[in-house]
Amino acid sequence: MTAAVETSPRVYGVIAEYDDPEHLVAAARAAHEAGYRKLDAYSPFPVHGLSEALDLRRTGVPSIVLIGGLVGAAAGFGLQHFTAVINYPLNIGGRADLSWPAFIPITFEIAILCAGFAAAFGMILLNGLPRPHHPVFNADGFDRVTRDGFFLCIEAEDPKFDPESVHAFLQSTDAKSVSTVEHSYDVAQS
Amino acid sequence: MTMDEPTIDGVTPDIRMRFSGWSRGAAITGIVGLVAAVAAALVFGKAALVQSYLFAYLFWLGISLGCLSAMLLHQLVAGGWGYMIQRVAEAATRVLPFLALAFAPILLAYRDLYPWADPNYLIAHPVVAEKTAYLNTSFFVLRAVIYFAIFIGLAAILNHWSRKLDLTGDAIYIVRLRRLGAIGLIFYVLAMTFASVDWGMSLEPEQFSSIYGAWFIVGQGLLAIAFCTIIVSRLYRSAPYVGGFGCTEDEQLCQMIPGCHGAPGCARPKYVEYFHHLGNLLLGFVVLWAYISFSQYLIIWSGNLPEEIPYYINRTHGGYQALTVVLILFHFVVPFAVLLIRRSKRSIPPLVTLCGFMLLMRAVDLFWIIIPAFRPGLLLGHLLIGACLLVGLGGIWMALFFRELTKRPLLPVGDERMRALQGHHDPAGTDTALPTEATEHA
Repeated sequence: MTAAVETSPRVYGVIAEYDDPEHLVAAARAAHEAGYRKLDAYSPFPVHGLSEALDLRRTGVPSIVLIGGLVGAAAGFGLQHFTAVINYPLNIGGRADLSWPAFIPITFEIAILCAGFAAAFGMILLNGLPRPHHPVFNADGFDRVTRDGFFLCIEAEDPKFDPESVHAFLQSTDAKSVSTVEHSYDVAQS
Repeated sequence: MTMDEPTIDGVTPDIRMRFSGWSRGAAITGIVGLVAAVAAALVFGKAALVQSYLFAYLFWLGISLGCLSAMLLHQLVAGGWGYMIQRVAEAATRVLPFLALAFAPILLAYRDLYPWADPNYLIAHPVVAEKTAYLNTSFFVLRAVIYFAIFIGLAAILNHWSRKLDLTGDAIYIVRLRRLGAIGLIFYVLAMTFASVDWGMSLEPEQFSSIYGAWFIVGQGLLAIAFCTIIVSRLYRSAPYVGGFGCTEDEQLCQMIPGCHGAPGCARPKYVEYFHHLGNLLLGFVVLWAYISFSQYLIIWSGNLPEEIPYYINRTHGGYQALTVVLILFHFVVPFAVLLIRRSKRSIPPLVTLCGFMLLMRAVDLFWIIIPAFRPGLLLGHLLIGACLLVGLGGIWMALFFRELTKRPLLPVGDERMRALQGHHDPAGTDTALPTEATEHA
């Protein structure tokens, strides 16, 4: 058995656990006010006011949805125009080939379909998914986040990050426990 | 308790002063409008007066009935937006008895409106003659009585229980109001569907459209949300909205209000959320209106039947094509685009401007629906008299509305669901958490 690599693994951040969503929101707000910017909260269910406390900016999803919808509308109308006017014109009840009122429902449906896809896939991509593992899973007792654990993690990438001071800060926010989260060992190291 | 505290009997003295001023101004404007309409009628004739009256009447009836349906819905779902506008909408429903009286001119002059009342027309149109089992004077009058009995009855029960809830705070009235919401909406939709057929569709008795009633119902919902948003935007900075749903410009006062987001660092007072919800509702109604308007057009256009198609020929020729384009652009495309933008719903001035604009567009839409029925070609006399009557009838309506609005507190103080939303603590000091399952289903 080879000895473990001496150098300590890289620190991902410092995580604190809270008993209830109120403490989590208060801690997130306090951390933001203390100047920490690279932080994230984890909870079993959506917590009201948490996004505001973390000062999360609006995402790019609405713009992606709008573009998806417009592309879908153009594609839906374009397909009908191509088939009914250019590729295979049919005389239906003596109407004009470009009978646009009849095209509107399908244009609308395709726009909604593409907007929906854009919303779902845009959200997944912007979230950095799919992603099989995340360093925060290494935190002690992190599995409680799917039941009754509320976590706040201040990440090492934060410009103000310093293990001791962050530890002390999180201790001061009524945390149930505070621990350091490390990046996973590489397979080769273990 | 300070002098500014609203009493159970109504609003604070300063708001009462403000409302009675608005009420007087509205009454004077209304009388001027009505006189101007009658003067214009000396030039354009009695028929033009009555026909324009129907248009103006349906607009103001639409606000009252839209407020009724919005409040029935609100009692079912109890969202924060509903509490913001509840007392405004309730006051609007209490103007319904006046609107029932104001229906009299239509009953008195129905021969100038409805062709089925003319025996010569029936001889020339045998298809319509077949419909006289329904479209005849006595049944028309009887139905109008039934519609108003339903509308006024629902409004009376709604206001009565809402008042009881104010006075007692007894949760039994919450349950009753919720039931009224469910049952009342069914009655309202049925009554309004038939009423729109009677008062609007039967102007062209050969034409028929099964989506017509929904068209009016959605239009009324749009009117109500726009109207209530405008009124609340004038009130939310004063008691009792402040600290509950409103906000104050005084930052120090703001921070002392319990339960408000007015803790240090507050950037988003609750009222912004509820204006946002109202904006979303407005967006929903705008889209629904477009959906219904277009569906009706698509079906009639596709069928291209001789008894239906004149409806759209009349409305796309002789000057009305301009109004049609205005409606497509400004009743749908522009408000739709503006309301997609989050900021335009969370910032009061643009939202209120848009609401005012939507009221105007509702008037254009009703004009476009009603007036082409009488004669092909844009009728300038009707446009002029219609505008005068819109102001005239509206002035009287507003005068009564503001008088009603002073009679009760501006927020439903007895409703524990609202207090839970506000995050307020009970005056008695007992804990008011969110209503438990037990009270919810009591």
